[in-house]
Amino acid sequence: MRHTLLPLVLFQLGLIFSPISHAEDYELGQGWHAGNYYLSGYANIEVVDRFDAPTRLDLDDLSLFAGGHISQWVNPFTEVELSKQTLIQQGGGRVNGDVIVERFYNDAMLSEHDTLRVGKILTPLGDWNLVHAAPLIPIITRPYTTARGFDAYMSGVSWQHDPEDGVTPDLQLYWQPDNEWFKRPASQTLRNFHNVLGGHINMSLGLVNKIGASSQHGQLIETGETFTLYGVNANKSFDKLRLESEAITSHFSGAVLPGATPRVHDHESGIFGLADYTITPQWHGILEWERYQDHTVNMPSINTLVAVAYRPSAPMVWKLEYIHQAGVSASIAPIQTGLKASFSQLF
Amino acid sequence: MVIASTQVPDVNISVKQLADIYTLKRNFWADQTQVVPVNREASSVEREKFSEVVFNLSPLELAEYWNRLRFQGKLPPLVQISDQAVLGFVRSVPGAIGYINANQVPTGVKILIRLP
Repeated sequence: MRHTLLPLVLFQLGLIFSPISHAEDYELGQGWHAGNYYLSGYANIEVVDRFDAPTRLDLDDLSLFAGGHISQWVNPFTEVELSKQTLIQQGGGRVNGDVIVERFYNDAMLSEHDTLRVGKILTPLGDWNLVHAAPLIPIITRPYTTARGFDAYMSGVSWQHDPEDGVTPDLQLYWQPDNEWFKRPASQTLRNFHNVLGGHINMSLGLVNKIGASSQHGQLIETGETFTLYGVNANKSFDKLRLESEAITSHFSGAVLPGATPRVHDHESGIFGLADYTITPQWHGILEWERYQDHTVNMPSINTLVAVAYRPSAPMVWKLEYIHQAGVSASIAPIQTGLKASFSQLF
Repeated sequence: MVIASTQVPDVNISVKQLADIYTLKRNFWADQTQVVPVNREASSVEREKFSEVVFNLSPLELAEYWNRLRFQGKLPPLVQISDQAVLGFVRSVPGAIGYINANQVPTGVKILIRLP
């Protein structure tokens, strides 16, 4: 793994120390810019108490991303992170984290409104998957609906059309002809996908409000099943109240390979709704509810969450949340009843 | 007041166009020179005023928007921590646009719009 990552680290350093034309003073949270190059990242530390398991302190994410805007055709971007590193665990023991290449791509600007992106990218499916860094999202526990049932990291080619006239929606189409590049370790991913084709359409209404629809078709490597997914997402703000929701439904068919988890349902579906109320500019009260029916288990997982977040500045946030999970045995549900607290900082 | 490099072809700009530039929706001037927007630091009075007049948002809300763009691989406006630094930057970088206190009498740049 280290040998695989060395060129990427050198690539990031190369971007950072490339010739510069203008720079700015560094301020924590805004990244480091040097001409057309920049370096940024974030750290997220979590305390997890699931009541039925030892309490632990994790370095959930230490992420570094670097990019450059070099020419119309050359605009590289890469993100590498150390993920899920246990720092302290009640009663001893620890889990070593993984170094993961989250993204690695180049953007070629076909026109001011059209971009051809080649590499490993965050799949445009819903809104959450595109912006899931801990300092930028309202809660610690990511809803199943936003990640579990689809290929969240697409490796291949995508075309993005952004008319920017405020009337016509944005459109993004993508194709992953083979497997994931820089494949994530098994401990970090429930499912792997290949031969993936999909699209996302998004209508932005101002800076915050948006509505979108997504579709994805592909194959699960572990089971050989073919799936087709449809999803919708919407964000809407009313003064101090911000509402957010995503929903997906998928149909599975075809092979279940020997040794793979059998299919219980032909459909998998999920929906969540989140309400974020701004109590003061820094303090937020948040409620979230989700129902997710996995196609490999009988019952849906019903997750209810209440949280507070304190954001003293845009790049820094403290969060505390209680989540109650019901419906699915805790042994197969990554989301479990318990308390979580976190500190996240962009740098 | 909003100022730009003398090499920028535009002679004036609307508040809507200004908003498009600072939300990275407009990236090129009429002659295809790249637009390089400059911000003041988040705690400055100038940025607070600019955020309110152009976007009707607080600097915190706008910073959250830019942070999301940065995570998506887009380069948010650069930050300079004084009017003089903004002026120096805009004078020296073709395509640059920034804002300074309206009490200034800037030289070596063009004024695109005076905000209320």
